[in-house]
Amino acid sequence: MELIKNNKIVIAVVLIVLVLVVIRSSGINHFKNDAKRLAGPTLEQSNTITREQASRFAGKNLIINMDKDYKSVNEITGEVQNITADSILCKKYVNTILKHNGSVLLSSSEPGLSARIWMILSQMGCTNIYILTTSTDNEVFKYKFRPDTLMH
Amino acid sequence: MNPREKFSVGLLCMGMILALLPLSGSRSFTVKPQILLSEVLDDNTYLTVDQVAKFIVSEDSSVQIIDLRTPEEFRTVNIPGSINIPYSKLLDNDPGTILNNGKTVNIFYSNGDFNSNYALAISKGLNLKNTFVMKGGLNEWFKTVMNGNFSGERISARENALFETRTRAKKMFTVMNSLPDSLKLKFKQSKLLAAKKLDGGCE
Amino acid sequence: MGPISSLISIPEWLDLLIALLIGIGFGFALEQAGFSSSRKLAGMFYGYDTTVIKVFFTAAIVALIGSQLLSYFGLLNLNLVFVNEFYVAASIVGGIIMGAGFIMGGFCPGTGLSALSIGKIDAMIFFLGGMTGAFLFAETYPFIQKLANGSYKGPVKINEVMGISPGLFTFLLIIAAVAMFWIAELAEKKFARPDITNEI
Repeated sequence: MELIKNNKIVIAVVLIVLVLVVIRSSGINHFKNDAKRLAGPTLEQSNTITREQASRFAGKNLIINMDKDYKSVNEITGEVQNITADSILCKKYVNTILKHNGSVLLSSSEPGLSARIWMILSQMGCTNIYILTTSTDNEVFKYKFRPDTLMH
Repeated sequence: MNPREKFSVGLLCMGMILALLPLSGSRSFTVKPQILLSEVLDDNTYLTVDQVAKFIVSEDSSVQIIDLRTPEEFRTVNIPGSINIPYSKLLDNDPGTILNNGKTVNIFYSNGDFNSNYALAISKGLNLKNTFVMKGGLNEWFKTVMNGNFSGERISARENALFETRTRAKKMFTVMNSLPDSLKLKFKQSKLLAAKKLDGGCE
Repeated sequence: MGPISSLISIPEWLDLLIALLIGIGFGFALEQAGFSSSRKLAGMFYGYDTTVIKVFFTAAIVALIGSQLLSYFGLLNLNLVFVNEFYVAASIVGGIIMGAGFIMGGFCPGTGLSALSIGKIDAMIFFLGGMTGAFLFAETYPFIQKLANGSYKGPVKINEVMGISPGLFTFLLIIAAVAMFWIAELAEKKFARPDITNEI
């Protein structure tokens, strides 16, 4: 008791900083530290999966359908939520996504949109989030360039 | 305890808090999530391959095309005038210096739609302006510009202009990528040198 | 939010004015703390007065903690903060010369100017010496260029070399500092010089 009384100021300052740090690290209205680490899965492309792969996930899937015309994504088991991309950062949705116990699957007919939303949610600290794709070869070069040998 | 000891204890406590924080010293997104979301949902950040073809044909110097594929892929084939920053290396250095802090128009492309759009979200998240994506990537470029043919009976003036641009872009693309490797390298180096000279400032 | 000068382009005169105001504050604090006395600085070398190391080490640590917390809260972008470049050979040679000047003159460059401004004659000589050194360095630069630019390591950070997080490094540095303070206090007792007081 005596010790606490004597060190009031020190304890107060440390406590204030500690509380601020805890608030900051648990808040949802900001991005987490280290963009590179959080973007890590994109380097190995381990964040894109097909429906078939997704259906094999052990945990409960949360499928976020971002298409406006609400196409059915019921080939995979899991809870489907229709959330348009512009409202995905509403508090209730972010909390649902961040606190979901299992995998979160982003579904959109627009791969570019899925990629952008994936990056935002991941940078906010959402792990276990995947992009649903129809094909795994989106980043594979599908054509063959034929050089013009007559040019020289 | 005397004040000095108290102060030392206070410093040690702070140190402990800092040691537990995931400070990495590396970059994190600086733009607020809501603002970033509205920026990435902006349809103007997508450019079609035809718009990019137009830039190439007009040799617009305010446009910087960034190839996010691997150096090997870049060496085999790339869009004329583009520079290679592999996606995996994008966050190693300060992207702001490469993207010229938004003073030039930066267009990302990869083979498909993923890497370029990740790169766009990253650059917008780091508050770099003037970044765009070539929709569909190099696959779309090949489909539309390289292999696209007009099918129909009558061609309108607009379509005619479009196909004219495509044909010229295709020609430039073919000429540039048909050069022997040594010449390609030379061209690339001269471009790098020019960029360095423009950069100025202290070494 | 910060650093201010990197984010908003402020005119050069304002930049210099801010520097002047900070400099005046710094000089005032140094003078008030008694750092304009060369005895205090020499005391560091002989061990009877270790205020200097305590003050500067504390300042460094407080700034370190502060900047890292601000960076964590998103108020300061540490990537925009200048990191000094490391020239190994030049640092060693320069450090020895500076240390020798420090103990002979009884001032470090900052406290020297602070003492000069309250009219200390020894500080004026010290300042002249410093200027002469700077002049000689500039004139002989072509001969020592190789040394001055030798073994360049770039803007390295210790924690990156050690491969630990900046926070952990700060913690280790604080432990080292507290240990140093403790040793310093012991030294003050062991090498006490009651004949040297602030009044002289």
